[in-house]
Amino acid sequence: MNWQVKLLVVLLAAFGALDLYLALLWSPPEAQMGDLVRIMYFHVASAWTAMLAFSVAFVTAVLYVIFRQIKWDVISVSSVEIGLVYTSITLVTGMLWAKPIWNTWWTWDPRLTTTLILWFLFIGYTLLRGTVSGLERRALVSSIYAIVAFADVPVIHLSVKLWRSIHPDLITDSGFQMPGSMAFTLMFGFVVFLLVYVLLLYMRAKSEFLRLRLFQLRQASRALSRDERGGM
Amino acid sequence: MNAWRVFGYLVWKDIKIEFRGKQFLAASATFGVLMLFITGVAMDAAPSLPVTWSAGLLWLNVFFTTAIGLTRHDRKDKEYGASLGLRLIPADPSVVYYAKWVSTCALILLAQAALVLAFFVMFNQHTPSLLGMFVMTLVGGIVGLSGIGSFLSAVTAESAMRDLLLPLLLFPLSVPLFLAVLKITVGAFSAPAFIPWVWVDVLAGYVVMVAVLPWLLYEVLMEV
Repeated sequence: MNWQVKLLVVLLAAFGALDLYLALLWSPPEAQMGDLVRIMYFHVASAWTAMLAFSVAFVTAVLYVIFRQIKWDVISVSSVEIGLVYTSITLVTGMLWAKPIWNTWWTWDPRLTTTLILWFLFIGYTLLRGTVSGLERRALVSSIYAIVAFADVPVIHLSVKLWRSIHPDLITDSGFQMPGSMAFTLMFGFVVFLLVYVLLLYMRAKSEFLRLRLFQLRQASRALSRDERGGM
Repeated sequence: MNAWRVFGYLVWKDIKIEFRGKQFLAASATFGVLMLFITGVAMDAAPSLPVTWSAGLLWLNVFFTTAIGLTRHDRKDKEYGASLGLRLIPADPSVVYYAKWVSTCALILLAQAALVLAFFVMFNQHTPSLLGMFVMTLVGGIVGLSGIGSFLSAVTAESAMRDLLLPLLLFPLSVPLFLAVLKITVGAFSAPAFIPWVWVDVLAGYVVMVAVLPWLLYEVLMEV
C-alpha cells in the first residue's frame, strides 16, 4: 500500500467511526420502530452501494465487449465481487430488521426477492468466471453474462413488484419520508459506504492487475524455456 | 445463401438428428412424468390441490425438465465437429442462435406434452376454463424458457461445470417468466376464469427481450 492509500484508509476509519456515532447515538429513534430504525442506515446504504457496484460492472462489461481492453474486465469483476459483499450485508441486515418489524426472517417482498435474485445472478457470474479457461474467453463470456444479468434486473424487479409488495418507500416524489436528522445520517452513511467501495475497488483491481502481470510473466518465462530447450 | 435458408437448414439438421435416435424426447418425457410423480408423492398424494399449488408444480417440473435438455445440441455439434462449421456459415451468426432456439423449443414442446398429460391425470385436474389461454401460456412459457436457455447454453459452453452452472444461471434469469406463466395458468384454471393481462404483457415482454438481446450479443459470443 502506498501512502495515499494508507491515508485514505485512516480517513475512512475516521468517517466510519463518525457514521457509527451518527447512526447509533446522534440520530433520533423512530416513532413506531424505536431504535430498530438504526439498522436502516446500514441496510439502505449497503443496498444503494451494491446497486451502484453492479451498475459499474455492467458499464465496464459493455466497455470490454466494445473495446476489448482487459482493464474493463478487471474493473467489472472487482466491482461484482464487492457488490456481492454489499448485497450480502443488505440481505442479512434486511432479515435482522424484518424479524422484529414484520415478525418473520424472510418475506416475499419485491425488494428482498429482487435482491436475493440479484445475489444469485452475480454468484453465478463468479462461478461462471471461475470455470472458464483462457484470459480473453473468460473476460468475454463473463462480460456478456453480466450484461444480460443486469439487463434482466429491472424486468425481475417489475415482475416481483407486480407479484406482491409491502416494503416502505423511503424516498418518494415529495422527498425523504423521514426527519432531516435521519435523512442526513442515511446520506452520510451512504457516502461512507461509497468511499469504502471505491477504496476496495481500487485495491481489488490493483491486485487483479498484479495477478495478470504475474501470469503473463510466467507464460513468457515458459515460452523462453521452451525456446532454449528447442535451440539446444 | 440467404439467412432464411441457413436458418431452415440448421433447424432441419437439429430435428433430423434428434429423430434418428429420439433419446432426448424419450428421456425428457420420461423424466418429466417421473418428476411430476415425485412431486405428487411429496404432496402426500393429495387427491386434489388448490390451483395455485398445482399450477406451480406444473411449471416447476416444466422448468426442471427443460433445463436438462438445453446442452444437447452443443454436445452433438462438438462431438461431430459441426461447431466449427457453424462459425463459417455464410449468414449473420445470430441465425445459429435463432435456429437452435426454434429446434430446442419444438423438441421441448413435444417432450412436455407427456408431462402435461400426466399433470391432468396424476393431479386430477379438470379441463381449464380457458383452454386456449392455457395452451398459449404453455407455448409462450416454453418459447421464452428455451430462448434464454439456448443463449445461456452458448454462454456456458466453455465452462468446466456446465451441467450445474446452466440451471444456476437459468432460474434466476427466468423468474419474470416463471411468475407470468404461473399467474396466467392460475387464471386459466380458476372458476370463474380470468385473464391477468398484466402478466400476459410480462410474458410477451420477456419473449421479446429473449429475442432481441442475443441478436446483439450472440455474434460476440461465437468468437470464443
